This record gives sequence, structure tokens and C-alpha cells, in this order.
Amino acid sequence: MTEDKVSRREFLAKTSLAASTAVAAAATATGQVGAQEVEEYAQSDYSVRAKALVSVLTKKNLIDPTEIDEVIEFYETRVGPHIGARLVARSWVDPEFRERLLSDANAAATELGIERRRDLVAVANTPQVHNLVVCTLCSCYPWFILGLPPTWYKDAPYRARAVIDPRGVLKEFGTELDEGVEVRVWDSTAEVRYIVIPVRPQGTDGMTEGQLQALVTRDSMIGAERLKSPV
Amino acid sequence: MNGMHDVGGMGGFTLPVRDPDEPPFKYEWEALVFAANQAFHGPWPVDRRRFAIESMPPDLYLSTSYFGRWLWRFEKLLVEDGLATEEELRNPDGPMSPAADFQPFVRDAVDHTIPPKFRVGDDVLVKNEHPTGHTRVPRYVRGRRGTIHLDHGVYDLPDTVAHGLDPKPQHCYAVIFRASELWGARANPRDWIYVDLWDDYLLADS
Repeated sequence: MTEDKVSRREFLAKTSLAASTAVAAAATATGQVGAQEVEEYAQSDYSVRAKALVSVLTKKNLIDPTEIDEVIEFYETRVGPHIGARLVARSWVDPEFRERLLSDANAAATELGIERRRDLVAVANTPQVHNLVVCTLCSCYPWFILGLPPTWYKDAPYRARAVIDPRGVLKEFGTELDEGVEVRVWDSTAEVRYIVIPVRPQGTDGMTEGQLQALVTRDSMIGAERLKSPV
Repeated sequence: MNGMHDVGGMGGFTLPVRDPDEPPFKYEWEALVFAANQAFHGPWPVDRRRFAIESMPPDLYLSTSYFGRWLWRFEKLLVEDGLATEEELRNPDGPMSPAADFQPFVRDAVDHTIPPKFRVGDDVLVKNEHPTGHTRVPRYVRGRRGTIHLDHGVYDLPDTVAHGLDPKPQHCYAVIFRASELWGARANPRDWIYVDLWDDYLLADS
């Protein structure tokens, strides 16, 4: 999203299209609209309700509206996979750090000055072992080092299949594992959050730590893909 | 509860295509709902908020987008706790009643000296319970045998915290299961599933 704070306030100020829900229901019932229109109607309904929610919370002094802007700015610009990538790249260049990361990820994150908001466990992929993280019950995810989770991670298809058919999921996501590779699926059902440390790609021997960080993708730290050689 | 949220192992879904450049919020309203959730320092522990979503009728759960479920939950909890009325949420330009008094939820520090019931390497059996309230035991491991892999330390029990009861702090572990223990003959013998489970969910498997 690229809107600045002013346009966000304008968005909030636009008054309600309260009739949209009824219009959507009536149009769908008579079969007059296609899936695209239904989606648009649903979005306008969500939009009306979201604005009403913020308006009610603000009028009742239950939230400070300036905090809304701060929260969005934080999650859109400050946290993201670049933080997790620092842990991964350091583990590739410093074997002792890697050992500390795998035995106590909390201390390792603190060591890199990463603000830790959750307990963290790091699990390492090797040529013989592939780890995959899921939350079958909701959407638990290490926000503080990867940012907000992608839609596919939060929706039912991945959550349903990752635990019963991890190899099939990986194949559809573009990674075909050799039959001999062991697969470990981590279902984040509690308060601990997991990060996968991907295998360092071949052909990266001369790279600086900063260059290595840029190679690390969000999905590789969930285990949903393996990193490809940049050369 | 045995809600629609507990999807682990279900068939029939189609995986979407991954978008590596997906923004955190696809629509402006999603950012608003998310941020309002963060900015409201309300009386609800995370497990009460989770339970609200778990209570959604299954057909509604599956037909509502992720942040749509957050929006539904926020409205539901505000009304349940007397912080807003349905009429106010429908008509935010109309008259507003004052919100009921509440204490913001603050998680107490847990006592990290509480001893564990199990040690790494112990074989365990997950209790086969189907509570009507909140729980973090997925159905696919209930009644199944696993082994304690890692002791995460002491955490409050979601089942009680969600309902405002004694938080019963206790150890939580990563428990490792053979895929065949969970999924039978179709499982790959080189697949393992790790699930984080609290002491109260487990029995010694001797």
C-alpha cells in the first residue's frame, strides 16, 4: 500500500455506503453479478464495517487514532524478512554463531540487536533434512523477524495440507525433494515461533554478509522453498 | 472446541500460487482492522480472541477472508463485553453510549521454577479430549503417541486463560510424532510432525 497518512484519513472520512451489503445480497441472489463483482461488493462491505469500527473505537476513546497510523507504518515499513535474513546470513558466515542460533535462538537474536517479542526456535535445513513451518489452528508466525505472514500461510489450504502432505505442498510450490530427504513439519500451536535456516546456496563463496542477506527469501525461512544458486 | 479452524489434515482444498511481492495488506480496510486490533489495549487475552474466531460458524469461517475474520471477531467481542452495541457499529454517526468499564488484559509473569512433568525423550500419549471451550490441541494428534523433543519452558495454559480462569502455568514441549502415527499407511516413513503441547494435554506412555 502506498497511501500516505493524509489519504488514510481521507479514506476514513469518506462516509458510509451502508446500503452496499443489501445491494450485494440482492444482486447475488438474482444471479445478476459474476464472481468479480461479488468480491468487490464483499470488499466494500468490509471497508464500511472497518471504518465504522475505527470510528466507534475513536469516539468512545478506546483507541488513540494516531496509534493506527503508527502501527500500519511499523508493519509496512519496519519489520519484514530482512530481519530474519540477518540471522540466516550470519549463520552462514560464522559457524559458532550458527551453533548458538540453533541451540538458543533467543540469545542469538539478542546478540544481533534484534528486538525479540516472542520466544524463537531456529531449525536448520541441510541437504538431507527439510523443515517446514505451519500453524494449522490459526496463523502463528514470527512477525518480529519476518513481518506479517503471506496470505497463503494464513489460509486453510496450506494449513490443512502441510501436516499430511508436506512433500506434495513443496512440489506444488516448486520444490521437489529427493525421496531420501527427511521432512520435519513444525506446527506452531503454542507461544514459540519457528524460523527455518535455509541451506546456503552454491556459488556464493565470495559474497559479503550483506550480499548473502539479499539472497534470503521470506518463503525460504518458512521452509516453503529452497534457495537457488544466484549464478 | 472442534471448530472449522482446526483444519490440519483436511483434504479438498486447492493451494494458491505464492506471490513473493505480496504487500502486508491487500486492502486499506485490512490495515485498519489490523491496526485497530493492535491499538486497542483491551480486556481480551490472545486466546480469548482466538476462541472468538474458533466459534465462527464453519461456513462463515471458510467464506470470510483472514482479516474479515478479525473484523467479525472485533465486533463480536465489543458487543459481548458491552463496549459497543450492534447499532453503534452499524451507524457510527449516530448516538454513542459510554463503553462499559474494563481492565486491560496484562499477562502476569510466569513462575519459571515450576517443574516439568516430562523430560526430553519421554514417550507421551496425547489425551483424547474434545472440550467445548478453547484448546490448542489439534484434532489430528488427539489419542496419538509421540516423544518429548524439546522443553520450551513455562507458559500459561490457553484453555483456561481464554475463559478468564486460573492460568495454570506449566511446561510446554515440542512433541515429535511419526507421520505414520498420525496419517497411517499413506505417510512417508521419513516425515515427522512436531506439535507444541502443554503438560495438561499429555499422559505418560509407558
